[in-house]
Amino acid sequence: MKTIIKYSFKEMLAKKTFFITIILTLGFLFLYGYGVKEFYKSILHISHPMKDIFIYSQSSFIMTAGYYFANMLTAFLVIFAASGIISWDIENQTIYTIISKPIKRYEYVLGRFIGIGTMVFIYSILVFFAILIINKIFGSPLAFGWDVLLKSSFLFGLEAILLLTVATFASSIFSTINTGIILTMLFGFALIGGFLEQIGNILILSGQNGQTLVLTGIISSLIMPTDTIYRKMSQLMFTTGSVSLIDLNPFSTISAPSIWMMIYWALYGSVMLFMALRNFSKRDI
Amino acid sequence: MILKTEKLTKQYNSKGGCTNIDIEIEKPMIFGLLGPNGAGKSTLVKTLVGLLKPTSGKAFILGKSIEDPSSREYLGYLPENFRYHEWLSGYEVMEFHAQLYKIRNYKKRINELLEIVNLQEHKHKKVKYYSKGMQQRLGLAVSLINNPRILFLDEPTSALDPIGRIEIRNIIKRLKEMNTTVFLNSHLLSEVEKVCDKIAIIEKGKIITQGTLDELKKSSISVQVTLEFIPENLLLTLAEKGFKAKVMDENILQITLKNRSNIPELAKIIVENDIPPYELKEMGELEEVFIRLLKEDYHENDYKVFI
Repeated sequence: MKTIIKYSFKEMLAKKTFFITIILTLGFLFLYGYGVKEFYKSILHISHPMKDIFIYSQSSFIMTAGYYFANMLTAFLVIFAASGIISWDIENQTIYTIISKPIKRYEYVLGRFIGIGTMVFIYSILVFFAILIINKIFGSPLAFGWDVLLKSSFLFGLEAILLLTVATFASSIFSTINTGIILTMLFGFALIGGFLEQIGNILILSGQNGQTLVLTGIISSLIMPTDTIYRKMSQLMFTTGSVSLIDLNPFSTISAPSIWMMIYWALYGSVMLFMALRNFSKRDI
Repeated sequence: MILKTEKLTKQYNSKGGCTNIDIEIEKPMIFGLLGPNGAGKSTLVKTLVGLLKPTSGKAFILGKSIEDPSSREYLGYLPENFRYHEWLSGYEVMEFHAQLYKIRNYKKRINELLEIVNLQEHKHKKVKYYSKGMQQRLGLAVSLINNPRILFLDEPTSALDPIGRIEIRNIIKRLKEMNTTVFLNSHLLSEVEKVCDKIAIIEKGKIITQGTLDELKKSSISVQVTLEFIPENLLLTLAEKGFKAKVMDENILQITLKNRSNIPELAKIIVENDIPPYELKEMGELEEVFIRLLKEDYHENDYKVFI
């Protein structure tokens, strides 16, 4: 399995998709950085009766927005690079000479998952800290403890890993294109569901009826729980210690996932991976 | 026992596959599996190397069930259609496969094999820049990386030019000298005839016959008789005497005999019927045996097995 892990990792580096993602990420970080710089330039010198609170609130907004879009970027990396985690080798006929070796099929699937997962996770962590550094460089007053940063960055990477388990499962049955379509739709579904849930919560907080929107969000998060991981990360970062200022916007987390939802992530990912192993072990190549 | 299959069957939901395959290879040899396109050759090999799951039956490679991945430890396989990771060089592809077999100190072995397949000069070139022939030769080198005791070659020369075919044939002969069993899948009769010790002919997923080339040729013989004309009473007489005759052309008959000793009797019948015979030719080449066997109607339990 070590060989499969090593070569899956190398394959990610060799792929054009990865190269393009890196370029896009750098482009995004540059634009985001420019935006953040201009943002702090304008708000640090305003006169406001509650200037400090206002700056804290706006800082949390610009940072959550950064994480929100970085989160999408990470998801696109998973979708583009891992839709063919199994199916591409089959379509490409490279698998014939691999599976005919004395390796167990689950070793192949797990090897691919761990190899690509490691790369995706490293990428996520780097993007996570890049957003943080950009904000700190240009004047964000938000301070985080290392424990919060470690947990939050882990959650940021975990979201990509959970999406990867779905990619592995879908790719063990469907073609690369179909897996890509399924992943995009599911991720979009989760994103919109999460967005609606937060709007629902804002409505409830302002005394209006937002129950239906919240319910829609809950259902979508059960089908695809990636957005709830982002929400948990956001809640962890912006309601901990000295930083407890959550601006009421759909990027931030008004209602955080419960411990049961965290158990659900673990179950969801395990089932997806188990199904992928089972499907691939039984299928003809 | 190098290879043994017992009623091995692989059927797809759609048509195709192979049924009740019984093959035994006891000692190192070159075994040819011959059949037209779509006969089930690749299905059988893919099942043996673990790519397809058998529907029923059993198969053992070097005493281990094919369902046990360790049965593939001393097995080499060159698929008919394959590709390697294009982002790797030829050498890196070899390295990857050596590592899959958990081979230690593989550098010398890789260089030896690249030398044999004439790719030493191109070993650092990315595989995506290899020609089809070069990829095929690399495939052969990869299939030999673990010094296999049994090597499955699925149409190994289909993408090669005549010189490439000769090179592959020579490598196969060399492998035989090194006591490696080669299971050669091919639809090219000349290729099989030139190198194989034993041959099985497969058609519609079933093995029609198997044996050495001589055994196949002797199994029943066929003669082609060219006459001035073919009168109807000749066909009746031949049928009465137990000869199976088929009209191939207006003056050509193909007659199946039990053995060569029937030829004088056949000649006598023709002469006694006052028909001038122009030519009487025994069809003994593998190609003729192959065509004859495939053209004959056969029933599920009505074919001969020679091994």
